[in-house]
Amino acid sequence: MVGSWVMCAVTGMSVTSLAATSDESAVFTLPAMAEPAPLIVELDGYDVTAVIHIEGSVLTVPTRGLALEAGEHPLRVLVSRANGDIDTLLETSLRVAGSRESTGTQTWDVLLGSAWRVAEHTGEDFAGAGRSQQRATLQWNAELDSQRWIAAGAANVLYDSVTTNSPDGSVWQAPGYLLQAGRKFSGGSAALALGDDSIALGNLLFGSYSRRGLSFSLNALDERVSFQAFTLNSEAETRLDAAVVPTGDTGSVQGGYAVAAPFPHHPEWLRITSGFVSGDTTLGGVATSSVDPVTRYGGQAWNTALDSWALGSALWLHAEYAQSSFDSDGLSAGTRSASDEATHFAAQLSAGGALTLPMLDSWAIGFEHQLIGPHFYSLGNLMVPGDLSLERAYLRAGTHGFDFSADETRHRTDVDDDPLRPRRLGATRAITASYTPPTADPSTGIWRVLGIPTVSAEWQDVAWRQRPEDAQLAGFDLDSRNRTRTWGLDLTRERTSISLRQSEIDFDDRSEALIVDDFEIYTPQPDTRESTFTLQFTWMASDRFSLSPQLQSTTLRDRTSGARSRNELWGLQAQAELKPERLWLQANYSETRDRPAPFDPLVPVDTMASGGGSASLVYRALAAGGYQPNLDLQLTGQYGSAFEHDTWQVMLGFTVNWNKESL
Amino acid sequence: MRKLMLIAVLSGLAQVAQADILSVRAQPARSTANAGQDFALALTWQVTLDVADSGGARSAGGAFFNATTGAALGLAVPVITNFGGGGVHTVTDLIAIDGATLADWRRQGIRRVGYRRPFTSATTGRVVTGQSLIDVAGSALEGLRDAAPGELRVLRMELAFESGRRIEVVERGAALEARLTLSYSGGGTLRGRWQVADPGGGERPFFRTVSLVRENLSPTQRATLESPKLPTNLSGRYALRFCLETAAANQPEECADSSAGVQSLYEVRVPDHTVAITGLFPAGGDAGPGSVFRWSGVPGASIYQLQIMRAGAGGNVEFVTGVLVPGAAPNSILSQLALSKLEPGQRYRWRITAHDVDGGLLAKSDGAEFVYRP
Repeated sequence: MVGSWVMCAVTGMSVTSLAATSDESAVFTLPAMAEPAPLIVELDGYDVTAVIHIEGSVLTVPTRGLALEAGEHPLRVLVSRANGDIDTLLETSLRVAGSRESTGTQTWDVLLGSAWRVAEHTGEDFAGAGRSQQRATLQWNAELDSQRWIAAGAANVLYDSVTTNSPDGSVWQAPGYLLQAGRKFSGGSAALALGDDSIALGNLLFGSYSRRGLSFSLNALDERVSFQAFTLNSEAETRLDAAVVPTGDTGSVQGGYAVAAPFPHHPEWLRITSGFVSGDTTLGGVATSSVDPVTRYGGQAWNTALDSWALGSALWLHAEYAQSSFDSDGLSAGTRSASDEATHFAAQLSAGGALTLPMLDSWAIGFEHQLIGPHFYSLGNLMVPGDLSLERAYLRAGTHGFDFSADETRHRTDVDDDPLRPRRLGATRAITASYTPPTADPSTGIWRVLGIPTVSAEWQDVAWRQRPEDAQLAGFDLDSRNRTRTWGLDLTRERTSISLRQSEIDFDDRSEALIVDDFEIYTPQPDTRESTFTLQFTWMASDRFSLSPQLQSTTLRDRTSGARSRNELWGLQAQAELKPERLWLQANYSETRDRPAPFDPLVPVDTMASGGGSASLVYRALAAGGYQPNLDLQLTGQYGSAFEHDTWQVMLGFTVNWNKESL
Repeated sequence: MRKLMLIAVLSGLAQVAQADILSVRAQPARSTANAGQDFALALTWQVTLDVADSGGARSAGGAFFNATTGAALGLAVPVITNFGGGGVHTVTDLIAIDGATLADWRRQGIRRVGYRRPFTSATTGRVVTGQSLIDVAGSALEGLRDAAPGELRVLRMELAFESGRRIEVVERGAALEARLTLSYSGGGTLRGRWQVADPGGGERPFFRTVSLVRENLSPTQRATLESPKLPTNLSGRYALRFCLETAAANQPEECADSSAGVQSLYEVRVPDHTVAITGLFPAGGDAGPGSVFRWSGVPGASIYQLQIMRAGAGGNVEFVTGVLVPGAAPNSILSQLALSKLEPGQRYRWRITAHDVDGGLLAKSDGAEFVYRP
């Protein structure tokens, strides 16, 4: 929301007149009323009556200070009747465009820091390790807008002389940057973007797909038609020197998509989406681990999807078809590309629009069917489950602090009836419920002592089996069931919160051993019960001191032999502002204790303990003002222990931080 | 089936009592080869002979079989080995299978191959055969869609923050969580740990566990887990990783160096200079049509923006309504329009932001709660 934007047009179904006077305000004439009555003006869901001017039938919206972003903003003018009713006089929208003059904003933040290890535990732990560490952080955001052109940029750059924790071993990292330049025209815009830009679609072709590269976007016909084409790096990148415009034969992904709503007056009736993606990739990338990050896979895929909303968006229907030609065994190995297809159908009925159930605050009921062939792959959604037929039904409801959901999913593999593939059948059922008393007042009665409670419960049952006759084909039998039960209690007060969780997972393996030529090639697993208990507590003693201890414990019990293994974790986080805006103390510590099952002959029965923590004292030697930066001095002590081996170090450092917003 | 196993055990005991070869074990007992990729394995046979034995044993070589049918696969490894004397002997076997052969086997539907090597006692002529299993997988990508026994096999992990970024920069004290996307075959209980290394570790970061994970995953090949709330109380650069536990109660010592762990980092920076608005009232109590909402004034404020929200499904916060208040006075009653959007008895959260004449943000508050009572 930026104040330099200007409302220069008012459109709507019932506007009688409109005017945009200057960069400072938008003025229009209201419809005549039979008798005078107080008016209320709502903009973007906010009551803005107190900051607009109404004189006679002329409404003036002072745009400066309203901080509206470009685009359509719902505007309603309502009449307050003497009997308390509120009637709509005018329902329209304000379209915010760029100002007549170029305007821009810019923010930046620069941090430089150095630290030196001034003391450490004697021994081998620090042999060969450097004593100093330098780091830097740059954050920059800028936006420039004129009537026809718009440009925006955002960048984050990190430097660290120590690469121990760097995801790719580089001293420089660019977690994300985006440079955009666009041209606005009547009813739309065109823009070129360089950097990290997510593809805002969720379908068979694209799923949370965000890569670095170049994209061109086009919006037209009041956003009823949009189009994007891109060429991107095939793996997630944070390196500063990653290809800016990746176009090589390997390591890049090209494609695009188009979205169109063919009915101008009812764009919700039908929306058509179609996309295409082609290129190659590995399973690697920054912040990614894979059993094989080297092999390259490649191919292409396309899809077409239809979406429709009816009953005031209460009913949603979705149908999608996708096809791919993909080399999934590696580009340099095995067979060539194989073609396959996938389909997805979904229907959902939910609260809102033309449908309301007076007893429920919110609700939704839906069904989906998904069929994905064993050879279907898309580079934009590479990990999409495949060789899977899935049906899912769900119900969600909420009323008076009570929320409930139920899901049932059935899945089947071997969708092509391949005689060389075993068929597995699965069913997942889940129910969750929670309750928070909506009228509980934390300042009165029992709630004053306990805090506002939320009680929750979850139950999940996952059953999974394979046709017995397929055991020889697969090399194992499969007939297992996992049941999970969880309950939780949260108590929230103004300065304290407590969270308790207890869960149990029962694993029941009914599969049979598989013996061939006297060799047991598959051995069933033991039935187990795993219990987990979690306690978290937060106490804000004052605005300047807080303490957060936690405790977690898990126990795994072999239900046949009775053998148990156990893991425990406890931790503490504390922070104190010893002198306001001048001196801070922060400390973290956590420790785990792991005790393996005693029957395991390869692992000693002793409990293994490990832990670590740090404490940091920060002194603000110089407070920011104007172009003067913050200067913080920091003394940090760290301690770690594992398997009866202790170590520690003390670091002394400083950070200089400039943080500025300019217009 | 148990009866059959019992007979097998008894039979083995009988042989131990009278035979000179007591047992043959392969190490590793199981491995995985990918179709289309050459496979090589240094296999160790552990052959245990009776201590009184003096003749030793001999093996003429090994052969491959379809482990699930017992059918010979016509590929022999004719490495002859002899050894003598009682006790435990280890024999190293270097086996290699070219990628084309593996691809051919997989095309035939062979998913599990047994490499067997018979050892013959020089004294009695008795033959004891050992076996090492080799799973014939497709590529790592295809492995996700392969059948898997009733256990979880994680093949890929991807770590990102809520913004979708792999590395995040946040202000000190900000709420921060990460998302772990797992690709796996099979299904079952995921066991792992979230670990962080606090800032200031230099070249020797100390990782500590901040949460144990026990999650039941459906056999649908993909799942996304939320991390616990990550520490952001120290300014500096944190390292974050998720480590799989290979077995219950085993410490994931090698987390950072293998496919059993995934790591990234986040930077916590000094907060910006935005002033905090405090003194919100009501805070926790009731509010109705006449209630005055108050907060500490901000010099230079042209407009205050009062937002009212409530908790929605899935923990999300939903905007319900709001009021713009002139900057002259830091208080307001809720307008008739705003009140019309509130439900009696419902708990709401509200907060304030202050803006200058250009709409620029001057200050913001944390949230406070009230229960609406008309």
